[in-house]
Amino acid sequence: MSNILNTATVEEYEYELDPNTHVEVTKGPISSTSDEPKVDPVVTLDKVCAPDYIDLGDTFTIDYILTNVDVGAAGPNFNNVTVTDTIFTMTTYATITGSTNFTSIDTGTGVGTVDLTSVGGTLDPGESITASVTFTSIGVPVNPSQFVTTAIALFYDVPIIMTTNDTCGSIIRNGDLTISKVMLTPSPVYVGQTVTYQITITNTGNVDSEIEAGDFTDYPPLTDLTDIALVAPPASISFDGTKIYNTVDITLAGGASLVITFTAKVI
Amino acid sequence: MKEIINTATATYQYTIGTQSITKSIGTRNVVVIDPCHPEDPLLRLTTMTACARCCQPLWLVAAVEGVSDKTTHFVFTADFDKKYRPLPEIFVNDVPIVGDLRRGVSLCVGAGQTLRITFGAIFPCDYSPCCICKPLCEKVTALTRICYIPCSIQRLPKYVYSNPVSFKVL
Repeated sequence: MSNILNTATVEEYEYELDPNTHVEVTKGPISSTSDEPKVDPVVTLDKVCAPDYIDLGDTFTIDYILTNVDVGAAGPNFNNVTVTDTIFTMTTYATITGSTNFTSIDTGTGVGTVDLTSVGGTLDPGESITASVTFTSIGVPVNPSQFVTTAIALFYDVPIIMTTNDTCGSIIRNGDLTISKVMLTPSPVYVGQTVTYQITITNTGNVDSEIEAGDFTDYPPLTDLTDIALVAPPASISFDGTKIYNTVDITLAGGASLVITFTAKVI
Repeated sequence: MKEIINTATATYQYTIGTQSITKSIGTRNVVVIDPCHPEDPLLRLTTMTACARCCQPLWLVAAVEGVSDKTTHFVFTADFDKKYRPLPEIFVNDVPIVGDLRRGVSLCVGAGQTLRITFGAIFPCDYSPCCICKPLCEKVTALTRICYIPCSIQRLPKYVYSNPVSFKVL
């Protein structure tokens, strides 16, 4: 809250003191100031993100609750409200699958224009509107590192333009593993030849992933291969004559890989 | 064609908030086994003497080593320069056979075996009345080769050459 100060001033004035001598008196200045309190309009943006944690492929929703707070006086009637949020531009990582109370969302500029139809075309003091966007995550964002972004709301009742912002976002937790098995020996191979296999397990996500003991298995076809020998195996990997497997739990951090190499003779 | 089919699988877990996610992955590797091992026989050529005399036979030995796991059938041929000619006498592992090494002699070598082909060559008489040979006083080179059809899909003939052997004719 602030005050409106308004001052009126008379710099100088004169009057005749003696009508016989015509002596005049000069005075001034005089002034008077009006000091009246001013009530500023208040707008708020409450950005609500749910759920807090998601996996790749999951859906998440952001609500933008926009309010023209009733401050007890005739305030502005906003006829245009926009929400600017970086997440609208992160189309590589999240696809917009639905929206409510938006007339448009520009994925290039990140500006969403709020549809005020449901509040009669203007957001009057005491009114609130919720605009929502639903996304499906398709990738793990790098910058920002997650879907945590700041939204900026602009309320227009020209010449009054008010702005406010709020921050939240869903966080991807993904520990997807990929596995590949290749023969390092050029194909085709021949009976009697010793060949080398390499198995690579990679965590393509951003959180730890755990393979419990015995949950990784590789059964070399013993009808075609013999003399199977692990090459510099990780301590957790063993061959029991039938299968190659992990003897203890293996934790793979995001981006980490486990490489298992073994040789065998073709029979 | 026979294949080696090899699979690897893994089951793993990670958490999203309070929720534990369990997933499985697998991979399959298929490699073709070629029943033929196209390893060329090894062919080495040596001569018993470093020099030769005109109108006198020079004896050479070619060793053919079968490195394949199967018997290899081949045609053995010898080439000389400067009018040197191979003799018809040929010994395979000291057993005499008859053949023309210029046209080729059909032989075979077993898996892991080495065939020892001994053959002679001579610089022939110049048909003078006394059949007097004149010393060449120069180097003569001999080279042998074998031709065989490898066990492959194309089954195209393949040539394997020996090391060249040179000797002086006195």
